[in-house]
Amino acid sequence: MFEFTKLMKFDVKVVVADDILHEGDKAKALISKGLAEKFGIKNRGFIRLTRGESVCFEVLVSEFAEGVDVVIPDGYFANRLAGFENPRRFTAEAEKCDEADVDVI
Amino acid sequence: MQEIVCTGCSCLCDDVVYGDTVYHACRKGYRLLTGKKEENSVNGEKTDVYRALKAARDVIDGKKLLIFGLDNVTCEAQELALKLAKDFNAAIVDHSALSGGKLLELSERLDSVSLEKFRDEGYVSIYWGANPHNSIPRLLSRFTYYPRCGKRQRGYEEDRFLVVADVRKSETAKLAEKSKTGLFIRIEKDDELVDSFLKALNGRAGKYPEVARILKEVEKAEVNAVFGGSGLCSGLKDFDKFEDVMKKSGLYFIPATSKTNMRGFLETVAEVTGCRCYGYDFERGACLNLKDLPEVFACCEAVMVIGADPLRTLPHELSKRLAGKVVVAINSLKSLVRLLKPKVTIASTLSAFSSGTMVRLDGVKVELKELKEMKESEGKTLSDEEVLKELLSM
Amino acid sequence: MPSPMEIYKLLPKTNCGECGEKTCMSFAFKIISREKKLEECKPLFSPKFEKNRKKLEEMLEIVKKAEETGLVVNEELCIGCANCVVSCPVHVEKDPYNAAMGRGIKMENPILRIENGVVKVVELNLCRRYGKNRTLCIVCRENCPTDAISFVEEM
Ligand code: SF4
Ligand code: SF4
Ligand code: SF4
Repeated sequence: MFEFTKLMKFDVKVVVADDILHEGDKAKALISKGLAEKFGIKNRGFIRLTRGESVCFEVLVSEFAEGVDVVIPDGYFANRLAGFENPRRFTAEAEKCDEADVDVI
Repeated sequence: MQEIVCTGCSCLCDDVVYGDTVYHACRKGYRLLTGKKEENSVNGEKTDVYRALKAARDVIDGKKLLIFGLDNVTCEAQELALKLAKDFNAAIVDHSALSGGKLLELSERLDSVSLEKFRDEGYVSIYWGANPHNSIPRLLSRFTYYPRCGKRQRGYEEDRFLVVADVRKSETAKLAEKSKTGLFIRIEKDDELVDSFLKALNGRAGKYPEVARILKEVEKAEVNAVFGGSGLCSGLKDFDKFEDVMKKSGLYFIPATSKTNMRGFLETVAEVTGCRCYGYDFERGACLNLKDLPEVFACCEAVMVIGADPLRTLPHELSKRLAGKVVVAINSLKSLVRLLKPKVTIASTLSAFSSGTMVRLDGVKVELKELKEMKESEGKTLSDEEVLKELLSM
Repeated sequence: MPSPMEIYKLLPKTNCGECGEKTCMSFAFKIISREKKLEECKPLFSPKFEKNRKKLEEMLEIVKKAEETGLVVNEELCIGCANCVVSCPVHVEKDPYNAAMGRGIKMENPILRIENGVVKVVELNLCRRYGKNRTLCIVCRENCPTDAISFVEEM
């Protein structure tokens, strides 16, 4: 069946934060319940964030993203999106995707 | 087993017991202490440290050099790195321009208090754009909220007041929200909270009326502090107004920057150059600021990375400028630096296992405890300080 | 707390179904959640698996104790902040100059201790939820923002 949510794109509020449990070789992000509902996305779903570059994240619906839309653990993936003048808080375009990026080997 | 100082973050916990099992270090510290060790190499081929040193020296001779990193190494190593920068007319920077530097600069101008004093006397702690649960994991349990000592014997429920101001509900915010003696203010713009403080200090209500309650609590004790984190650093526009609030409210300010020895670096730069700045370009004889970084990264011919992983810690906008440069990396742990195809890597001893000093987030100097018995797997390596000393003496 | 995988590795792994579960893996899960008991795995009690059984019994000692207190730790969610260690009233009483003051706990066998970056249950017998005079203490759980500590069943 064709998924309309696949075509949806939103501007989302992103915060980059230290996140010891979710940083690592695979790109992971916490998303708010609100954003999850908007996309019809569940835990372990995937979103692509674009801000100049694009990164695909596996998502976890988390209370810790309440207040913003997305929290990305600081590190390699966050830094692909973050500008050097606003490395911690910015807006990015979000859409659904099918898998998460992994660290370059 | 030996007691060491963990260098996983700027809390510099001095009670960590290192052996086959590591006791008391948080997950962040444990990861650092047991991380995969770097190896000496030249052109990707393993070698011994002296060949690597020689090759490193050959690389940097006569090239326009950038020295980057330094937040994870001792003050003694930082001092030598600055000497190297001076001798080679190089530029030298850490991460402070990107995040944290402004907070440390603020703390120079504002009244501050040591973590020990806060542990013994502190009542209201306000985490502003800071989530120590992840950035400085043991801060609350070691110093600011849970300990019972000094004037604070009755425990956190009666003796401490926890405030978190952040754009999202972080882990620390969750604790504040749950607590009977705490509150979480979800802010949109940091400056609006500053404004609410200023209004409340004049008896008026601003966007966040909770501020009046905080100021009432503040009156109950002598020692109360704002812990400013990276959120505050990137969100705040008007630092003067913030300073005004701090002075008028009698709150102490403690920068909650998590980078281990960033404070040490800025102090060392100030000592050596006489300037309070985030880095220095010895060729131009000028301080380096955020806006200078793209050019500094683009113009150098060789980069010496010391105790850092630029691909993980720098916005790609900057780190991509390192592609194609000749790279010398002096690191203790394996990192993504390998993607820059470094000409030379020198494996150094983790600072947690070396001797030397670092500056904790509150400005207190902490003496590191050298690990006496290096296990086989730790290998015999030189400390960052020794590596730099060798490079300077060649 | 052992993981279901650790339990599974020591089971016969034949999926024989004698315990009433379809697979040894689901039996392992139910051992952890305490819906099943080791004794229900008959083959495990044959001489062939004696070594494994002993190991399993050792591992499950902690689960047995949790049965009394209900306290279970999920290490995967723990970042070793030590909020729980420092706030636990038993630690405060018994280790007043270390744990109570925020330093690494020094008492011989504490209830909880941070080992290799995460919290480990060392001696659950001391927990106030244990024994005859048990109380409904929830201090450690309340101070863990990532919900790494939970109580399987309230008393
Ligand atoms: S809080 Fe920081 S210094 Fe202390 S153990 Fe954790 S990483 Fe190490
Ligand atoms: S339930 Fe209470 S006594 Fe038991 S470990 Fe937790 S805090 Fe300590
Ligand atoms: S169980 Fe929770 S409170 Fe205890 S150390 Fe782990 S994360 Fe911290």
